[in-house]
Parts: sequence; structure tokens; C-alpha cells
Amino acid sequence: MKHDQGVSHHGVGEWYWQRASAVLLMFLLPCAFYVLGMVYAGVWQQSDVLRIVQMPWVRVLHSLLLMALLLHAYLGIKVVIEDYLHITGIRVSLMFLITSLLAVFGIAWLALIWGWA
Amino acid sequence: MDKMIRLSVFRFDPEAGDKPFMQAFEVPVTKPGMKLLDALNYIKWHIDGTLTYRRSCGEGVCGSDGLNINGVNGLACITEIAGLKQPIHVRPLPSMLVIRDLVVDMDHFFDQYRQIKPWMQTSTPVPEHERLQAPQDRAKLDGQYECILCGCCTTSCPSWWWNGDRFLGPAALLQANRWIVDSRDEATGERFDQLEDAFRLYRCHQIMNCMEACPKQLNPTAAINHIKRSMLKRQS
Amino acid sequence: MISNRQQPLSPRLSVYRWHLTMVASLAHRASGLFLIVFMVFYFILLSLMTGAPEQFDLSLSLMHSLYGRVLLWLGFASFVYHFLNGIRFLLLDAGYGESRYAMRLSARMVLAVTLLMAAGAAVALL
Repeated sequence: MKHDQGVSHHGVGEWYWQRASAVLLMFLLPCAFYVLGMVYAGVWQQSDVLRIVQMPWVRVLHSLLLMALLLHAYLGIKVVIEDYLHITGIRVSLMFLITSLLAVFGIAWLALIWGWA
Repeated sequence: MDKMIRLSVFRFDPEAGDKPFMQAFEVPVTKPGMKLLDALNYIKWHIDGTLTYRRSCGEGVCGSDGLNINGVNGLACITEIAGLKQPIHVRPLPSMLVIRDLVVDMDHFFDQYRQIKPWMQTSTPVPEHERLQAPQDRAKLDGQYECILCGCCTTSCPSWWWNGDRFLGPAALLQANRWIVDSRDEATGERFDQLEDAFRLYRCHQIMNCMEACPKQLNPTAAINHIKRSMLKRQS
Repeated sequence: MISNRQQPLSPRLSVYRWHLTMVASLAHRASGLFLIVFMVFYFILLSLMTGAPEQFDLSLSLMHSLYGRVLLWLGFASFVYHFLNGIRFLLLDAGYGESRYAMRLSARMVLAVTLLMAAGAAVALL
């Protein structure tokens, strides 16, 4: 039997942020699916999409949605990896890889929202 | 009364060096309201004396005969044969090291129970008579203290299956909450400190197998949620 | 836990009965992981929709293709489930519906509503 390694004094923070981001997503994510539905059904033309996406307050909310989404996804993947993968080296490198991918993805999306490209 | 009960029982003999296997048995109905333990006793006393399992009180108080019965954990002594689909699959508690047949090594389980310091800790001087508790404070222990440590909940938990070396499991956490909500205990802060860990406490993902398995109808998931809420309250 | 040759580990996932609450928890995980995949598809669609007019038309034909519709359907079903069960988890975290009865009932309700909405979406999309 290994010796007791003590407590990590961490856990409540990740638990809290997972839920805080969930509350934001609860309000904002339905909007994203609504947009998709409207375009799919042909109700909205491209001009409608552009008009809405380019409104300043929509851009702010859109960015907020993206942040919450990335945080929520990051914490969710972390929990899943911690549950099933037990080799520290694999766990840490995989989390590094996923964090990097999420970051790149987030920057690309922000560029799209604010029209940097 | 001469209808036969069909069982399929997990067997493992460490001395034979064989792999575990399922063995079929047929047992007569010996009495109305017959329990699974009665059937196991019948096998041991009349068919195969080598069948090994734990039992003691036979009425759901000691918590010795926790088993996996048709895929769900429960106590053999209070599980009625009548409600079970046959053949009744009887296996040891899941994700445990098997010593022989249905007997598993409970050391790690009790070690995790010990980790939450399941006794009253105080720093104030001992009163002349006893530490009193108001009836409404005593009521907070209902649904917490009844645990008999049979291990049905902890060994039903997938989070504990995958991370049982670090995650304390529902039984130990239910008891952690039992001492956290006890108005007489004065080590609440240290108890929280000992649980503030992504693995010890936060592996619980509300799977609720523990609640479904508990033979005493307790709810460890709710107790764990209460600890999490109290932990947040302490930090914010 | 250190297992040795003498002591086998008793069977667990292979024998344990799938309670509805366990299905609900695992489905939350699965739908969450799929939504991450769907996020990439959404990003591609969004960049096409906000691009040149012919890119907008491309996004429409992407969505209306068979694979597109399957992806949309899976994404919608995952979203509905993750959304509803997420609210269920938040309520439980906040201390509502913590009785054994309520925990079972809420799992059943969330799964049932998702199945209904997914079936409805299947009729509309597929």
C-alpha cells in the first residue's frame, strides 16, 4: 500500500467553474442552435446572418459564449481523461495537446467574430 | 413448495489456481418468504460445503453479506428470492480482490472509512455530563448514521471502479457528511480540508448507482452533493 | 490497488445492471464529447455563412447533404440532452430533487424528453 499523498487542495474551483460556465451556456448556446436552424430552414438569408452577427452586443455575447464553451469543454475533457487514463505522462501530455488545440480554435473563432481576417 | 430455485454462483478457489467460473445450483424452496441467504445456506449445508461467503446476523444489520445479485449490489439476507429473475446470478461485490468464492478483501474499503476519521472530534473541554444535541440537530443525522458499511454502494460506483485508490467512494463520503453535519463535532474545517481534492471527493459524477444499491435506502449521492455545496459556501 | 495472481478482481462493468441514472450520467458525458466535435462543424459552417455569397450557398448545401443532416441531427440531439440533463445536474447541485424518488424520476424525464425531441428532429431532418 502506497503512503497517503495528502490532499491536493484543489477540486472545488474546477467544480465551480464547470457549473458557472454551464449557466452561461444554458442561456447562450440555444441562440447558436437557433441561428443554425433559421439558416437551414431557409428563413434567414446571408444578409440576415451578417446583420445579426455583426451587431456589437451580439459580438460581445458571441465572444462570451465562446469563452464559456471553451472553459466548459476543457474542464469536461479533463474530468473524462482523469477518469479513464491513469498514466500521468499520457494524461498530462494529452491535456497539453487538447488545451493547445482549444486555444488555437478559440483564437480562430474570435478572429471570425471580430472580423480580424 | 417443491419448486426448485436455479442459481448461478461465482466460484474461485485460490488453491486450485483456476480462473473464476460460474457454477449452477438448484435449491428447493424451503420456506415462504425465503431469502437469497437461505438458498446459499442450503447449498453450503446440503450440496457443496466448500461454497464460501460471509454472513452473520441474517437480518440486514451487520452488513456482512453484501453481494452482486443479478447485477445489482444488495444484502443476501434481506433479498427475497421471489422478486429475483432466475437463474439468480450471485457474484462477489464488484471491483474487489476475491479471496475465495463470494468473499472479497475489504481492507481498502475500511481503510478509506478510517481516512475520514469516523469519530467525534472536539477541542472544547469535556462537559460535566455529556455533549448535548438539540432534537433538530439530531434530526440532521437521519439518513446518514444508518449506514452499516456493507460496501454495496462503494463497489457499485464506476468512479470508484476506475479510481478507487484515490476516490473515497460513496460509503466513506456519506460518513464524512455524517460528521460534517453533526452539531457536536468541532473538526468540521479539518474535515473539509481533508476532502478538498479533485479525486477524493470530486470524482462523483452523480451516477447514483450507490443510491440504487443501498440496502438501507440511504442516499450517498445527496450526501456528497451536500459536502460539495458546503465546500463552495466555505470558499465564497 | 495492487492485484496479484492469487486474487482476481471481481467483475464490475461487464456484470453491473445499467440503472437509468447511470445511463443518464454516461449519456451526459457522451453527448458532451460529441458537442465538442460538433463545435468544429459549427465553426466551419459559421465561417462559410459569413463569407462570400457562394460560400454561404456552400454552407447550405453542406447542411442539406446527407452527412450534414446526420451531423445536425446528432448535434441537436446531443445538445437537447446535455442541456436538459445539465439543468438536472445543476438543480441537484443546488440541492433540489435530491430524494431517491426524484433522482430516478428526473433521469427518466430527461431521457424521455430527449428521445421525443430527437425523434421529432429525425422526422424533420432525415
